[in-house]
Amino acid sequence: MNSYTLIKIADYPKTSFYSIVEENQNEELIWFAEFMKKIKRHDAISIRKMIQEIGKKYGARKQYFRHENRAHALPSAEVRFIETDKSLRLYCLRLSDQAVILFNGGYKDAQTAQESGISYHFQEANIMANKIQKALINNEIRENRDGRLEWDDDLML
Amino acid sequence: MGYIKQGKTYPDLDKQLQDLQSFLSEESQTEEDFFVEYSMAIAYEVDKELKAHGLTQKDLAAMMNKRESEISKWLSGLHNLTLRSIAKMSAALGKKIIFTYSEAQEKFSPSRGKAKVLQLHATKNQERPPIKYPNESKQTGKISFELQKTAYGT
Repeated sequence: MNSYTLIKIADYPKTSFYSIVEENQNEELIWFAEFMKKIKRHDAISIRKMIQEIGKKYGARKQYFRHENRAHALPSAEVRFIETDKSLRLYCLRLSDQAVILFNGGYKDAQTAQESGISYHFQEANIMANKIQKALINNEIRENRDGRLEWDDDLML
Repeated sequence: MGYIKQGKTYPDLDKQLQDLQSFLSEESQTEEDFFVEYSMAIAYEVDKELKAHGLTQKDLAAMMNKRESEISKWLSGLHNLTLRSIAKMSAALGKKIIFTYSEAQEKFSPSRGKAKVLQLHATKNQERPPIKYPNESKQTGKISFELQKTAYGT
């Protein structure tokens, strides 16, 4: 059975970025690293630049994270996404201007995310976002005074 | 120290994390970098202007006779804004959003600073070589300050 936990991947003055570590029988992988491996080079540079600009200049302002207009969205967790002008979507959970959890994503190849090849990542992002919200409520994940995340060593999502 | 959880080490994960962090820490000046920088900056200015006036993206959409989802896309920081859409937002806000380098130089000219420095130079240190003031480098567009070399001998 796969297990999941959090990992910090980048720390900037305005914002810290986190992702998910997935551990299965054969390997451990970081969702955001998997995302960056499979996308085109120019898109990887765009995503990197956006992370740097958010981290150094602007903070994770809501305007930079779009959300799906869905009639039947899962309750509670609000999965948002960064979308490049080449229809590349990176799903994430923006907790505040200071903390963003980056999931996985891909190229949107249909009219709606549900119909496209990235629907799997959209669904797993929603499930994980709900788990994170629960862990926040249960104090297993905590936001410190700077708005950065802390969690127990044995956190399992 | 690598990634350790409950006393267990994860060398493969360490490698993934190091590679990722190394890539994220690199800075480049590609077309994509400038595109993201410009788009995010314009989006930030518009959103900041809206908030300063107690307005929302929905209000701006109404002012421009657009759907809110379209404005949300425009201000997401990665949208390929056209000059026309920037002009429309400027017109709706009644404010110039972007300045060219020359306009910014004109508007925020260091001439006042230059006069002060010149004065200081004249009164405090007569012997120091004259300062050459900001010049626009034709190659990079960046401002550079250069001290004239001291001329030794006659």
